[in-house]
Amino acid sequence: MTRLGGGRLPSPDVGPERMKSPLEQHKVRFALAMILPIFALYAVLRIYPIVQAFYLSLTDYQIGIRKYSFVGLANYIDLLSNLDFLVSLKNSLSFAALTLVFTLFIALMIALVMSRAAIRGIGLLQTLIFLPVVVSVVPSAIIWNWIYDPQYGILNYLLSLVGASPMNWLFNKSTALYAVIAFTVWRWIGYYMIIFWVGIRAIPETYLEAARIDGASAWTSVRAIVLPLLRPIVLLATVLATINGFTIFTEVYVMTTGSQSAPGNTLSVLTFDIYQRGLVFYKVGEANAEAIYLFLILIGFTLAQFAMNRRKQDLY
Amino acid sequence: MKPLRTLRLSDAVWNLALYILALVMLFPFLWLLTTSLKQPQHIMAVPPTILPPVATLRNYLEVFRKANVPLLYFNTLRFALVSTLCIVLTSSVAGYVFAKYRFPLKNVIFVIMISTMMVPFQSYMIPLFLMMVKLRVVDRYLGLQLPYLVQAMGTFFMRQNFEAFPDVYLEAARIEGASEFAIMRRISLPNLQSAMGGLSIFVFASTWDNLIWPLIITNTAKNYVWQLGLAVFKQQYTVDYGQFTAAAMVVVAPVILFFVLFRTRIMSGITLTGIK
Repeated sequence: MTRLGGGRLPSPDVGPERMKSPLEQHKVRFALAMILPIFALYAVLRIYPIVQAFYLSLTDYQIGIRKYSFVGLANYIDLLSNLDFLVSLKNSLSFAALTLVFTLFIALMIALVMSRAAIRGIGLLQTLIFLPVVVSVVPSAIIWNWIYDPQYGILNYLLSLVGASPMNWLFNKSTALYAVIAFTVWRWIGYYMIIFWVGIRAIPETYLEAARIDGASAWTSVRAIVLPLLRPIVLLATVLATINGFTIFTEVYVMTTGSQSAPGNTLSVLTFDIYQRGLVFYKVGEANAEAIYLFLILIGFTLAQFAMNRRKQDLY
Repeated sequence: MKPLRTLRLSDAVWNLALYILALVMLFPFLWLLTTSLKQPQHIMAVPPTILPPVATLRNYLEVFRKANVPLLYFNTLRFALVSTLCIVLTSSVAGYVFAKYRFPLKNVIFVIMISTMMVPFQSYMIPLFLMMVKLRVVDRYLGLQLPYLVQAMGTFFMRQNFEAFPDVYLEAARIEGASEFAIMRRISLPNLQSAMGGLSIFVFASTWDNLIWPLIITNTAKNYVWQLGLAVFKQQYTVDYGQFTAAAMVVVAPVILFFVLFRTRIMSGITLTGIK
């Protein structure tokens, strides 16, 4: 292959005997000058704290106590019999699973209906449904606290019209989880709706046209063409929703903490328990072990989701 | 000419269903607005009324009296804008270099940087806080800002975008004798403005929304950002719905206005940047 100035182009053979022109050396120097300061920021602001989280999880470090010692996996083992941790873990699992199922199902239905039926004013509809995504969590949570209010909330009022007795939705241990889930589903539907909508729009119209000519009903073409082609997008949405579900904090903190920052909470999830254990009760060692559990759970779920998808694809 | 399609019955049902759903999605915001304009006795009226019988701005005046609204906006905007600027800049430069240059240990550096994306913030926030204690920047703007100078997802996103950028432009500029820095500044970065715009919206929205780090790092009201200020306000005036819905309105109104003005860009910025 002869090309003008070919020596300047990166050659595929990366070896010690590769010729290094002055320009090539200049490019390497430029790249390093650009990347090293940024890498230094990553090293200080991300990598060091992450390594530190692992390290501290193996110690009995507490804020305010100077001396600490290495305790091995004791924190990890202790957590497994710690009631607060187990309750938070259970809540996080239910929260992530239920928000994922409801949010993705509703969002997918909306996107399918929008793409298959003759809908007037799709832009307006999408804007309205997306609105909760852009409004921040805290003001939205405040609105929902007001809707859920046990005495004057409109939810209890509406339910009283059909004869239900009033509930203290957010401060009752059996309903708080579901109340926060409903709020979160409302907030996130628009986000996944757009993701699915973009995915459906990317499917070539000719496929659907061909199915229509063959006499397939709208439902058949959705099941046989749209959904299989949408699979990578659905997988991606599942991974995103899992991560979002396990890392929510603000929703729980704002909606279910009592007044005057009273300790204790009707609903605890892993992120809240990490915060409380480490930064309210100062048990840094234990809190970091819990933080590492959170990390492992997320990695585990993400890898499992990708693996499951691959196995399903192999079947075809 | 396309034939005019008449609305079939099933389509009419779907239209109706979607518009009812959109109203349900919108209802909390309408309820927020009308509650914030009500007097206390009307807020607690049974049965509740949708519109305030007598509209009042009293709740808003109380919010402006009790909270330093301009300062809250200043703190929040400074945090969100500086984060956006820094993250977009570091992500674009790193993404460009990873996409277009070869240098020793490139893959190792890339994998280390991108793998931090897999670790949720909550998993390393405590060591990060302890670091800020050592640096003596707790309850200061610098402590709030420091963690938001880089973002692995942004770097990954910009690298993806730069990989699609043709090498010929760079080669042509090199033949003209442009320096590598000039090529980056005058050719590569300006050509990816739309990707950078998408990333900006994503970063701005997520910083604006951030509660957990401000909650950990700030203690005094003068350093509060909106999310924290609102959360504290809510804890202090738990029963005064008129006031805290007014406070929420003060935060929400500009966001909704911006969204209505730039809705398509914002929608694609928030969703597509997150999945690329």
